[in-house]
Order: sequence, then structure tokens, then C-alpha cells
Amino acid sequence: MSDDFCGCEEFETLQRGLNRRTFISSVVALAGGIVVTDPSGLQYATAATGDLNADLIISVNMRGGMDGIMAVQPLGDSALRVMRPNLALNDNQTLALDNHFGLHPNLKAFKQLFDAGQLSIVHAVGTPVGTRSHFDDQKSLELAAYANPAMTQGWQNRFLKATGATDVFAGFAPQSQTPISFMGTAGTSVFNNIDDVLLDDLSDVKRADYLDILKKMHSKSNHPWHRAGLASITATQRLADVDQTSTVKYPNTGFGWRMKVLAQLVKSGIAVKTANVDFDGNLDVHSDAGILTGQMANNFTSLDDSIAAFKQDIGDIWNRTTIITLTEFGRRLDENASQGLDHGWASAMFVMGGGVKGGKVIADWPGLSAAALRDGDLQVTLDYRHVLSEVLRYRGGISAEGLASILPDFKSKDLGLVRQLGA
Amino acid sequence: MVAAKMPIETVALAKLTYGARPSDIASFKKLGFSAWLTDQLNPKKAENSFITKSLATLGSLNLSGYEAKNTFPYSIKNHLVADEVTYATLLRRYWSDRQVFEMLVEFLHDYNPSPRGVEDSAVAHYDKSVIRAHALGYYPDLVLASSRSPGMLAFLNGNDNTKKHPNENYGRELLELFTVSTAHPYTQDDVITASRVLTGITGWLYKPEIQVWPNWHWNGPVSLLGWSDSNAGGSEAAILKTSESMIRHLALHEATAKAFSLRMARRFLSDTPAESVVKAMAATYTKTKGHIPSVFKTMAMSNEFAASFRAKVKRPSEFMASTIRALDLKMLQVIEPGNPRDDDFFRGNPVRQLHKWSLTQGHAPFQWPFPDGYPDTQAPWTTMSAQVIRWNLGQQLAFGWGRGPLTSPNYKKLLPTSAKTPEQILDAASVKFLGAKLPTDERAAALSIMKQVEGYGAAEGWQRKAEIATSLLIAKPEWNLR
Repeated sequence: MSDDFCGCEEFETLQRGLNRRTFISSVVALAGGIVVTDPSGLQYATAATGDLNADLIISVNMRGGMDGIMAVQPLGDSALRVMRPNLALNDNQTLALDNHFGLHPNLKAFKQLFDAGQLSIVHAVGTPVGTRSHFDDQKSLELAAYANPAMTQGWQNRFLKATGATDVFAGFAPQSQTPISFMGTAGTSVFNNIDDVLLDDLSDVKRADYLDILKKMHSKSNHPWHRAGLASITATQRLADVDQTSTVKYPNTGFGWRMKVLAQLVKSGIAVKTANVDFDGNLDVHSDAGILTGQMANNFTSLDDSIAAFKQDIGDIWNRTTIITLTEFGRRLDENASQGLDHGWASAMFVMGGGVKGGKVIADWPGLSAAALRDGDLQVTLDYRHVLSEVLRYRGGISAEGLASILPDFKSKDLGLVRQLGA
Repeated sequence: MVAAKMPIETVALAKLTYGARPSDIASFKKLGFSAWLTDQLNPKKAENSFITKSLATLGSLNLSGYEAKNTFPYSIKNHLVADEVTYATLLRRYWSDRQVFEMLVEFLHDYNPSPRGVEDSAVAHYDKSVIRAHALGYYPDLVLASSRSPGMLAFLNGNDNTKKHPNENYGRELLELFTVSTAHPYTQDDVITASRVLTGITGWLYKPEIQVWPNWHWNGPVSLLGWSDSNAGGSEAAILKTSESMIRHLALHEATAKAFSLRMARRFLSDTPAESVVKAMAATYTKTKGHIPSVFKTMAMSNEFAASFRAKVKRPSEFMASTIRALDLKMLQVIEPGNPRDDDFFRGNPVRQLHKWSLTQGHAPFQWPFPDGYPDTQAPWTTMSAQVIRWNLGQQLAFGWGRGPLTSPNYKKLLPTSAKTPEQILDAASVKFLGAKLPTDERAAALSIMKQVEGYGAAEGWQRKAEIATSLLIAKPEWNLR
């Protein structure tokens, strides 16, 4: 990593620069539905809520770099159409959220959630260090420990540890490989189909005897494979009772399937505290991004329909569910020669659920003028960890001390995204 | 079971191949490590007749992407090309005699991937002309071939890379993943430079050769990590020459020597290989100008290698292959493609089940959609998914049941004739598959389980006990390490 890329100091400078900026002018310019964050920041109270009925917190990975501008387009910005002759919408093609931003037309259920006050959008948000590398940025995003390069545990693992959760289903990812944010020793389960992980009988051997010897085999070492083996033995037995039926129709996409499996677990009373779900559409649209038809249009349909189906499927559990979308970076403002978008920096995040104080686009909007862009990218003016902090603190039932252990060296500020548990 | 000091044939066959068949240990011992390795790394080593015959039924393996586009039925079903090379890959992993070569092929596919789902017509040709053609040759040649292959040009958008709007997708990964890696400093300007040098080189499949468009090429002096060129462009030959010069510079860079060696050592030795062995490998890389077998030999002959037994968790591909090979299972029938007009070309063919198993485990060939290849460390693969699926699959393979794609194990051949009692069966199988008897408590529990199947006739009872013992041994953590 070159000095040019080491963004830690750079971001600090940027933050200071923002704080020096005249926020009044931003507020005036962006008055309306937009909340401009308090530059002084609000420190969390130290009291722990310790609420055992904390939310299910779902992190949806928009892996590949989701274009935030296409998802949530700034309105009335003539610069945008110049930079993106093929990949910007007319204002009236978007689902207007307020006077300043419009949603992609395929995000219809998101619009309904926004109107119902259950979805907020954070814009010009992202990682403090933008390297434009999928792999470095994804890893840093999931480790969420920018000041600690030696960190090997993911943020969801640290969250689970802070909650004291030990159950094997406390963390769940419907996929084949452990996500980085789960790396560590907290209880997590990773599989993408319940039927695949139901333990077959061993011939006509008594099941208790089979389970017993599997346990013995996995009890003799602290090697991760052994530890995970013991957890798998417990987990597979509990899954036998999970009802997999549902009347809700999910989209026929990988993401739709994954949300469906998650719903199967939580509907059966398995107390998943946090889930990590990979979106499966191609967001890395270097060519033929397809805003109204094609790749991104389909992506938004899959995202929208899957989450709408999930909400319908889980019923009242929605009231104690918070979903956030995360992406390693947004896309370049300038469209490339192949009607695609190269890697960029800031993007948008969706925060939705029963406890969300929704109906707002929250941004310290840097603008799209050439001077406002960084190397042609929308600037990150809000660190995504503010969103994590607030959601974990107020919906995850985490104390201030707990939060400090999850996101060390990060001073968070309140964006007014969610209600406190029970409020 | 603490990993005892294992004989070198056990270590080498577990770590450098997809697993030992019963006959492999004897032939290894006969040759000795060094001669065995030389034989395995011989580009002219002959393939066995099962593989040759099976592969001959897969009509797209030797077609270029252009030819596949113009050859029925691949012309109307592009995905068949990707299916066929997937089947070929699985067959080779499980039954090829060129085991080290196949391991290197998988390693290099993870390193410079061109997955299915982008330009399926080109997947088989990429496997053949980029990966297999260079796996026993020179890494810089492989990167160069990859950069000019229709599969990669489609995957990382070389086809869209023009002087007006350089598409950075390939240029960025060339630096980050395929050559110097982020361990070496480079800048956004370097990414742009690498992309610009490659502007105008495209590989659309409307004609047999790749296409180079001088009008799309960004001309002008360029420099990048110690390399510079006037990059005057103007002709196809000039553009190809400049891009080759850049790629060779990058691929021979000392940072690439280190990155390549680290990646290889992580694949074959351990998740955290000792710096000393990586350094020795990098020195070989530099000395031999990126000769892949030479770097591999330096690794295999190192002290660190012999000491790294069971340092890695098997990925699903290795779990499947090593189990199939240890049990000496065969395909029930060779591949017989169906009616080309049938939508389901390989309907009913057992090779499809092999593919399905690899998909269920999240580790099917050519299926990782990103350019960084499948994860290669313990944590991503240590999942409930991996474990329960392996317990179930291990049992399925150990029992056979006569309804899968594979033969049932012949325990009469696998186990010594002296293994008659449950104790003898269990101990013999433990030593055979895991190199040691089970710990006392597990041994007692296993014997108690095996004795639950008393009551069958003598022969069937013996068979059933062997099947149960083997299922349990495959479920052992040690079987999942290499």
C-alpha cells in the first residue's frame, strides 16, 4: 500500500476540513428532508440498556461496489447528466424522496418503507480509506478497525462477543464460506440450505451414539475445526425442527434464497442476533451498467423484492429487525466508454426496520462539482461506522463500553437513524 | 490425535496431490520424493486411459472460444462449454495420474481466474491455453497469455478498455492480484498507466484471433514501477509489444516473486508460511525468471514442508478428492453425452452428481465470481456447512449404496485380510486412513457402534462394520486437514 493510499490521515484531514466548513450554507442549500449531521457529534450515554430483546441486525453486503448515485440520485443536478449521459435518470423517472433525492424506480418497496417511516438513507457514506480495491476495501469494511492493522476479528464477531451471546446461531450467514465480519470465536453458523446440513443417520446406528462419538472426536483440541465441529453437532439437531414452509414468494435470485433461509430460522424461534447476507447480483458494473433495463435495474429489483418478501414472511419479527446495506465502495461519477462505471469511493446505505426513524435522507452532501469530487469520486463525508455504531447501540442493545470494544478508536456521532429499544 | 511425525510419502501425497490412492504410496516409495516430484512435474507425463477416454467424449475441451461459438451444440448452448470443462476438471482431480499438475492448475485458476458466467464459450479454452499450457512453465508467460485471452478480456473488461475511457478493471487487478500485490506500493496513476498500455486489445469472439485496434490505443510515453516505454502505438504489433514488455516487467518484479511465493506457500504449506521458505521460493522465482515447477520444488524440498502436515484445512475440492481416492472409488460409467438437441445434454450422467456435490459445498470449479479466487485459509471453510455436509457425504462414499455416480468401496481390497474382528477392522482402517489408531474413548465408542450391526450374515456384517468404521474416520477432524 503506497502512502498515496494510506487514507487514515487523509480522512482525519478531511473530517477536520468538514468540521471547519460552514455547515449553515449546507443546511440552507439542502433544506427539506435532509438532516445534516451535528458536526460536534453526540457522545453516547454510558448506561447500558442490556436489553435481551434486542433486534436482529442484518448486514446485507452489496459486494462488488454498489453505485449509490444510481440507487439514490440527487435531483436537479445538471452536472450528473453531463458525467453520465447514459447512466443517470431524469428527475421524474425517480421515486422522489424529497426535493433533493430520488430513489431508483425499481426500489418500489423501499419507497413504501421510506414513506412509512421505516427506512432511512445515508448518503455520501463509506469507508475512511478508499483504495478502490475490492478486496482491501471489503476486508477493511468487515474488520472495521482502521487504526488497528493487526485486527483479525470481524465487526459482527466483536458485536456478538459484546452481547455475551454464545449460542451457535447468534450469528448466521446463508452462504458456504465464513464472511470476514464473522471471523473470530463467537458463535456463528454458516450454511446456505437447511436440508444440506441436516445430519443423516449412520445406517441403523442409534442416533445418540453417533452424535456422542462425533462429539468425542471434536473435543480433543482447541483447533477451530474441532470447536466448529462441536457447534455444528448442536446446530444440526436444532435445525431438524425448523419449518421450511412459507406462503411468501421470494424472487428467484441467490439473494432472495438467502433471505428466505434466514426467515426460516427466525420464524422458527431461533434467536439469530446478527446475520450477514451477501447480495448476489453483479454490482461491479464496469460495462453496460444498465440503469433502466439490464444489470443494475435487475439488481435493484432483486434487492427490493427480496427484502419486501422477507418483511412479509417474518411478520411481527420485523418490529425487532434492523437491516443495513454495506458496500466496499461506490462508483466513479464519470461513466466509462462502455456505459459502465469504474471503482469509486462514497456510496449510499439503506437502514430499515421496525425501529428505524425513517423517511429521511441523511447526508452532509459534498456535491458533484469537479472541485467536490475526489479523483472523480463522490466524497465520503460520513464514515459508515457512524451507522454501525448507532444501530448496534440503540437496536443491538449495546452499552457504550460494549460499543468501544466493537469499534475501538472510533468516535461516533448520532445520526438520528433509529429509536432506542423499547422507545 | 496429535499429528505424529509422518513419513514423507504421507505428507507429500496429502499436501501436493488430491490424496493418496492405495497404490500411490508404494509407487512414491519406489521412486523416492525427488524422482516422484520430477515425474509429476514432467510436462510430457502421460495421462491414463480412463481420463483420456472420458475427456474424448467432451467435445468442447479443445475448441477455442471462437470455434465453440460456431460448433453445434455449443453454438446455441454456451454453458455446455463451461459444464464440460468443469466435468473434465473434476475427473482429473479424482483420477488423473498427473496429480501435482492438477493441483497447480487449481492453484493457478484461483490466481488468474476467468470464471464461468461471463463468456462461457471461452472457459475451456482459457483452461487449456492459459492455465494448463503454462502451469509447468513460466508465470510471466501465463499472465501474458491471460491478458490476451478472450475469457479474461471479457471478465475484466479489456474489451471495453479504450483511450478515451480506460477501463481500469484489469489494470488494477494486474497490479493488485496477478503481479506485485498491495504489499508493494503503487498508485492510482499506476493503475491508469497499466490500463492505458492495454487499451485497444480486445477479444470478442466474432473471429478466431484477438483484435487490436490502434485507434483505441492510448499513445504516449508511459512509466510504471521502474518500467518505461515510448508507447508510440500505431500498429497492432507495436501495441502488443509494449504491453508484453510491461507485463513481463511486472511479472518479473521482485514484489511479484514474493507475492507468487507467498500465495503458493499459503496454498500448499500453511495459512501462515514461514518467511524463510517464502524467501527461498522468491529467490528461485527470480533466478529462474518465474519458472513455476522450480519454485514449487524449492517449497516441497524445504524443511518447512515436511513439518507442515495437517497445517491446512482441506477445502471441499480436496476433501472430496482425497476421500474418493483413499477409497479407490471409480466412476460407474464413462461419460456419454446425450442428444445435442436435448436441453439437458448430460441428463442422467453420473458426472453431473460430481458437479452437484461441488456446488453444494460452495467450491465448484470456475464458479467463484471474483478475480481473487476461492479463499485459501482455514477460517472461511470452517463452517457448519462444510462439516455436516462432509459427514453426510463421507458416509455416502463409504457405504456406496450402489446408487450414486461412483462404485462402492471394496473393503476386501482396502483392508488387510487379517482384519476380521471389529477391533481388527477398526484399527486397520484407522491406521490406513489416519496413520494411527483411535484414542481409547473414541475407539471404544466406535466399536460399540460397529457391534450394533451384529445380526447380519457374516459377510454382510463384516462389510457393514467396515463401512461404519470408515464413515466415522472420514468424519474425524484429522481427515479434514492436510
